[in-house]
Amino acid sequence: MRIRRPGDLAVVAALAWLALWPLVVTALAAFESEAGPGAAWREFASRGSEWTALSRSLVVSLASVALAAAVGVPLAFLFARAEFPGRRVLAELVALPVALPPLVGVVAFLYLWGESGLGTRLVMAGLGLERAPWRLDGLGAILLVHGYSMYVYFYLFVRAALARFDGALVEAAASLGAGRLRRFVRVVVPALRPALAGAAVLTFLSALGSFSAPYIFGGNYRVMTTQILASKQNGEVDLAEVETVVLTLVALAVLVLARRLDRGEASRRRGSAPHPRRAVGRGARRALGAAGWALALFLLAPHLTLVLLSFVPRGTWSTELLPPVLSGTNYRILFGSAEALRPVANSLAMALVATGAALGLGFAAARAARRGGWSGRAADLLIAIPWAVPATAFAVALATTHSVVQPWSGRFLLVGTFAILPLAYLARSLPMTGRAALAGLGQLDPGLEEAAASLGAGRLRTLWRVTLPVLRPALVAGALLAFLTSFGDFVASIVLYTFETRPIAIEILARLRLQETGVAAAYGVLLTALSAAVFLVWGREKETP
Amino acid sequence: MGPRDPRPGRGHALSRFVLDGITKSFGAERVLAGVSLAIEPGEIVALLGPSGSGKTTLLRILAGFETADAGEIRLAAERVDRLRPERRGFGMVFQHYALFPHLTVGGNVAFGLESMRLARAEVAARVAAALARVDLDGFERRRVGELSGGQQQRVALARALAPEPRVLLLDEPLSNLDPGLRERTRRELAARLGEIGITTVLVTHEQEEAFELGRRVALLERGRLAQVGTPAELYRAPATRFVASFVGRGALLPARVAHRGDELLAECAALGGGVVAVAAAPGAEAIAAGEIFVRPEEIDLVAAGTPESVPGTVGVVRFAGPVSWATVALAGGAEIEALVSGAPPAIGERVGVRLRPGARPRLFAAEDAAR
Repeated sequence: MRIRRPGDLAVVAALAWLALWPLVVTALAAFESEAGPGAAWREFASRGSEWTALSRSLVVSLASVALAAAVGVPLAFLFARAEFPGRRVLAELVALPVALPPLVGVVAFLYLWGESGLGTRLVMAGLGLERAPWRLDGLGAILLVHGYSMYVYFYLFVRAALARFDGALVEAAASLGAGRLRRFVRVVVPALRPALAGAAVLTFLSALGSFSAPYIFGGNYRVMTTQILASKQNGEVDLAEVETVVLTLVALAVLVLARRLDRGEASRRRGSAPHPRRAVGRGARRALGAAGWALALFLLAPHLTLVLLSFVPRGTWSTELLPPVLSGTNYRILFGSAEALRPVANSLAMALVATGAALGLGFAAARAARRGGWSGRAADLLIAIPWAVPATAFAVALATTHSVVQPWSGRFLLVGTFAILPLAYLARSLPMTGRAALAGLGQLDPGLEEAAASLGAGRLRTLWRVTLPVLRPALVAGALLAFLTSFGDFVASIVLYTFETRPIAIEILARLRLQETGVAAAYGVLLTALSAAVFLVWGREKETP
Repeated sequence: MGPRDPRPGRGHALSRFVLDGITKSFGAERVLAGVSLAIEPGEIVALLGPSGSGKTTLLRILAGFETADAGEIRLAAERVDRLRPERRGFGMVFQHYALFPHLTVGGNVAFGLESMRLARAEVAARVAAALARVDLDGFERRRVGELSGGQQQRVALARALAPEPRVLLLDEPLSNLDPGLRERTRRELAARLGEIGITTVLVTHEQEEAFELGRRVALLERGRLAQVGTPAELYRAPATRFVASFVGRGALLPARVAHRGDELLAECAALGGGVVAVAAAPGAEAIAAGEIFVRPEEIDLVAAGTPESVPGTVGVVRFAGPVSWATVALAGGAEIEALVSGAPPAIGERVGVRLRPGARPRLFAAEDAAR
């Protein structure tokens, strides 16, 4: 295999510097600790708390996969196969939890189901209880939040697979004498396998890298992500680096495993016979409808709580069941001063810079990957790394790498500057823009570019007039997702931010610490509303041809 | 005429288009093994061949999307093979048309004109003219997705022709159409190409298409040109057994050969041992035994027992209206196909088989000798 074009080499070099180099530098730094080579590793191995954190991370991740599958898969079947009132609206609502930025979602949960949360108070009042019937902390709380936000992966993946599923296969199995159970086990489940595997890997990696929920609810229940931040804040930098390396290795092992599983899966031809929706009986219809709306209320409750909180002025709501005073004070605080708007401007600027760069680099990487060869495979692999590596680990790696000036080894003093956060966002966005561009290029008829060439268009004009316009929907989708993730980012930011460059999520945390819950909620509403708007734009974009 | 504008217009279509020793391998697989072909100005040549014969690769090399390992492509004295596709000034119609989905019909047709730095009004006029030429007047603002398959094909043709290319390349231009539409579109395409008079190379795997569209047909077999000639030459005087059986139908029967003066006579045991005059294929002029290739229209079915006929049993009968094709198992074990006009024979009927008077089958060297 040869390298097709020198440009590809530059792309691979840029990707390697961005996605791989920080991890390598950190791995080396973790070994050469102050107390001698390998001392930090020995320290890590000797501490029971480290092993506990590691095993808890794995427990949380596996339990999250099981929980998300248990909720998401039945829902997917229900919405794909049964017909009942309100199905269409509900089917869209069910995907709602993804539109809640990570920290904001966790905070909403805290004020909803926490010991003095709105939901908890309502339950207490309803049942006449003196004390809260549950405590929102530890493993249970983490899993509740994970289940709430991550079942969506299973739901969306399986629903898409069911929509693609060729109903004629089931009919063929039936005509060959297979009963209901055998049809399901032998025909339907194998067809869903890729979707289930994809959702499981995505959930596992999300849970492994989850930071907000363990940070807010974990308390003494330390997982690796919170352990890394704790070590860093305790000044045990070497140890934080070792933890980063360990967590990264676990994530990369899962990624490698997932890619291996994925490779055996040939692409299935799209079927033509749709599986019929079954209209269920009248009693079942009502029950399903009611259960569906109850579910929707549960799913919407965090969003509603957030909105409600944002209208409660500071110190006006203590023991009452519902807030006695509602006003726009918090929003006036938010929009009233340049200083209060600064995090919004910061987030906006940094996310835009990161998204723009991620779009360009992701597209270049996808082109290189499509061209194949050695450089193509490298590009394909490199854009997957930031997707698998937990944000906390990646942020620590960036901080380690770019805290010194060694330009000859690709290290620059970026920590504490405006550049470091957009750089982190860029790396985290690459898989989204890169994957989207790759998917778009996969569907692009290569004849189009050849047609342009045969009509006298050079490379640049072909790119500008043909390739980019045809790929627009895919690129817009990738860019929107990248922007959303960067705009709402909390996890990488908390490791790398400075006061000057603090993004919205960090401001929310700061306001919470100052007991300014309402203002924090107002920021959260702003963030969520923007995310929702972006989703709406995306939906529109998908419909235009 | 600078290098930016390789399309000087129709005048330069009056140059010979020459392929000289084109060779191409993909890995260890040799796809083209020294293909040479000279195409006269304004001539339409059909590249015909089964799948895997290298015809599409050859067309892509002409267009510049693939690079030949060896060989030259010349237009008059100009070496074309060193130019990038966009500098060649060749128009191409793709198999799946490759119409730009984000542009209108007019935008598609104008695309090639836009690199020529023409005035806007000039572009519009030429787009309208190009669309009129394919009977799509006024389709400028239509979206590509709204068009039927036949209309898309015509837009693709209009788009390729609008910049007045020096050579037109067509890749299986009809394969994407419904069978019913295909025949009509073929007629129209043949008429249009004849009118325009542009040097054209078209690729197809359908003999009928090649025969109707190509003034000459170049038949490719595993990367080599098996024969180049007019459709009639290929049909009547196939150079090899491959050409004979790829172009039309027929059966190969073993025969002994006698030379009488300039005349070649074959004695075919399977057809009752009668002696018939044959035409030798290249390489079979001096052989003593070989095989004759008998086309269905060279066979007469007669009543069983007719003198100078061999008995046979009718197998499959394909009824095609005015004529039928009947497969007949001969007494000696060979199978032969006959073209029958009038009432088709019944399946299982016993008939007599003989060569039609005046038939002059083609003689080939036996297969193992040919290799």
